[in-house]
Amino acid sequence: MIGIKTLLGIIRTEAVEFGGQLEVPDRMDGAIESYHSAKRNARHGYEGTERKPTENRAPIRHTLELIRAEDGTLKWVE
Amino acid sequence: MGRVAERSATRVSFTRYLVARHTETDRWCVSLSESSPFSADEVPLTRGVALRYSPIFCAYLAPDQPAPAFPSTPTSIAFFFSRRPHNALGRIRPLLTEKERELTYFTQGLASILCLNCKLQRAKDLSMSMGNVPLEYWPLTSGELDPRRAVVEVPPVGEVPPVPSLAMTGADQEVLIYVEQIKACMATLWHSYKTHNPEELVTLARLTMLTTEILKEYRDLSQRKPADVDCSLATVKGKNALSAALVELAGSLSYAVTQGASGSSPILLNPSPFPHFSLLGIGGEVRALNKFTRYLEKAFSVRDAAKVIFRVYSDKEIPITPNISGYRSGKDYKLDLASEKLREFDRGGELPEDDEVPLVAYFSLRYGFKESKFSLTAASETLTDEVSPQWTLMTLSHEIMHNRVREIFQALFGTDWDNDRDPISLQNYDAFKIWYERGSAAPACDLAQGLRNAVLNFCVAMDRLEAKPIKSERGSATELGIPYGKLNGIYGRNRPRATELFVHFHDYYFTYASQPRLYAMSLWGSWIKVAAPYARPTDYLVRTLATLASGTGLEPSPAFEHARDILDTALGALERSGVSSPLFDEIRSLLNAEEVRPYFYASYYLIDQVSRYFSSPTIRSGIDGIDGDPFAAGLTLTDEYSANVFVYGEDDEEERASPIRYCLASLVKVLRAETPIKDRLWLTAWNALVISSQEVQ
Repeated sequence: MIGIKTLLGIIRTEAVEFGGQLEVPDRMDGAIESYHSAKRNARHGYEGTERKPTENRAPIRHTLELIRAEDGTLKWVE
Repeated sequence: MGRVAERSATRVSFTRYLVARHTETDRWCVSLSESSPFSADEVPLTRGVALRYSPIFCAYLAPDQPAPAFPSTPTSIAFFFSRRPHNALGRIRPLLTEKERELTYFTQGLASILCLNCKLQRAKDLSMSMGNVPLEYWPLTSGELDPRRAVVEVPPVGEVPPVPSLAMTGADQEVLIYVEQIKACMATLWHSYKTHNPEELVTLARLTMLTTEILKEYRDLSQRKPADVDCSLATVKGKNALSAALVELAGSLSYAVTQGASGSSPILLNPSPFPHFSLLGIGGEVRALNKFTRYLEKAFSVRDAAKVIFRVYSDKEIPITPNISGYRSGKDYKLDLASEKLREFDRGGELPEDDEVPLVAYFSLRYGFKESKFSLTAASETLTDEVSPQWTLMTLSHEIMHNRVREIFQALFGTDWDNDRDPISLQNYDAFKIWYERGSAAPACDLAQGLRNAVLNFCVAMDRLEAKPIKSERGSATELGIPYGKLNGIYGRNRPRATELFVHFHDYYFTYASQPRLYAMSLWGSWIKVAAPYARPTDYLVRTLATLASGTGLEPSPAFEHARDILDTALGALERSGVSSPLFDEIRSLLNAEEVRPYFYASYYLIDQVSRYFSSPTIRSGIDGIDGDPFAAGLTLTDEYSANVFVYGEDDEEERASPIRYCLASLVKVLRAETPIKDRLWLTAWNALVISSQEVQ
């Protein structure tokens, strides 16, 4: 379904994001319900990989915020 | 009381078990029974004999008729290795006597049809009538088989090219073991597929090409002379990723061998590793997985997502708003399926995939339904209970969409072997910064960058959603600033949520033909067996609501109400059909939880962009979905429906059912509690029989 060139790029991206860790982790032992939880969560984020800051750019002034409005409801503002 | 119940259950069962026990005289004692050898409390295996067995299924049913009688000790068994057993049953039906029909069964293995108590010549004639399929014949004496007397007739296979070569010479020592394993799997599969799955030979050829390219990259990295420690680390990480890919390939192919090639002739020499299918294997079920997968792959192959993004979207300027808090949707986001014309994704000329690698499909108890770069697994429960909403084959479509979306994210955010950078490149960071900070005053950016920005914007919203406690006053500019490194982390943590929105839209729009109630019922019928929705119900609720709202063009608040009403109706319909869970009550109460609406609004913002720029009537026209199915429209004259369990295969092109349409129709029947018979294992095997018989290449 994915072309060979793109697949090679995906492997490369995974090298950057996950340092080459296997996609399907071997920490899925447990009861059957846990199996199904883990397998659907296998595509976790990559925050666990240690990363070095590579560039000192000015921060983005991103003003989106969730606040509690006067009527008590939650609202996006920016 | 117990005995009465047991007899009653037997009457509605059309499943039998073919059992072979090895004897001390090196023969096999063959018998049929109404129940599995392991259904009794006392397990006969404690006697220490080798035992193999598989369920087999009465092939010819008639409405309101009981299961035919069967001989517990047959005099012979003819096994037919038909690749299209549904059609083969249709072909031979008029040729069989009533008694012969009663003694005809289908299976989940490569030996897909079997006839009891027929003469060898009659078996040969039937084999010819099925299209000259391979035949194995067991003459039995008092229920005993002398394997030396078994007859095996395999018609010569036409011209087939040799196994594609995969050079081990020059492969790095560290990966040689994987290369050897891949080569061995390829050789075994090539031999088996020549006879049983010739359509899959192209899959093996493409996997060989891919493996060759991975090895080439690995060799190049191994020969690189890194300039410093960082480069050395990057090189090792690259090699790790490449060897991990080889491990994944080797592992997937091993499963393909053990599941797809076992059960071939001679049957007793090729047992299945699945103990409860040990005699005949599950080759037919694996073929059904492949047909289902190839059908969707073929539909999507007409538009290569990476090509559209690189060649069309990178050269097109359509603004996407950065303003989530003021997002309104509108008519540009409304999908009108009835009068659909070409959409953005369809423009830019023909852009087909040209070297795509088909997914290796197999069953896994451990992984359940799951997609990876090269493979696709279905839950093993699907082998025995596909007719339940929890284990329906339809869940596979969600996983196949993950593969499509994997390609989209690679095109939007991925790097390649010529670059060494963070997932968010500096160029993309700068573009996102200008786009967000300057808003409508920002210089126009191309659509590919706009989509990248929208994904990043959504990820920032998810990050802000989790900020606790929620204040009633605005934060300071310093608090809200996002440096480069932080944006990478925000993207990494929240990409799975963005990915799921892409996947759900694709599945909903392409596979379920944007039928909201059916989609919601299918999702939640399945999720009650998954632990994650119990742990994170809000995530699963919001992705459902956003999907149901996509394409409406409604403003966010009415879109939320619209989706909520559909979900509530769907949950009620599930409960009325006997599918219930405490999770449903939790979901209903969460619909009023205060954090759900802002979460929904941000998700709606992103899925609207996905809907607008990745919907494609061109691709959809290649998927014969349930929207064109008379059963979905309420037809109850089941004799007119090709997927009826009382109707057998035809060779007529127009009579073929698409795997999607067939599976959805089956799911609809289950959800309406309208299954024609109550034997779930029989229905499961029948569905696989029909799907495995479709021509989809």
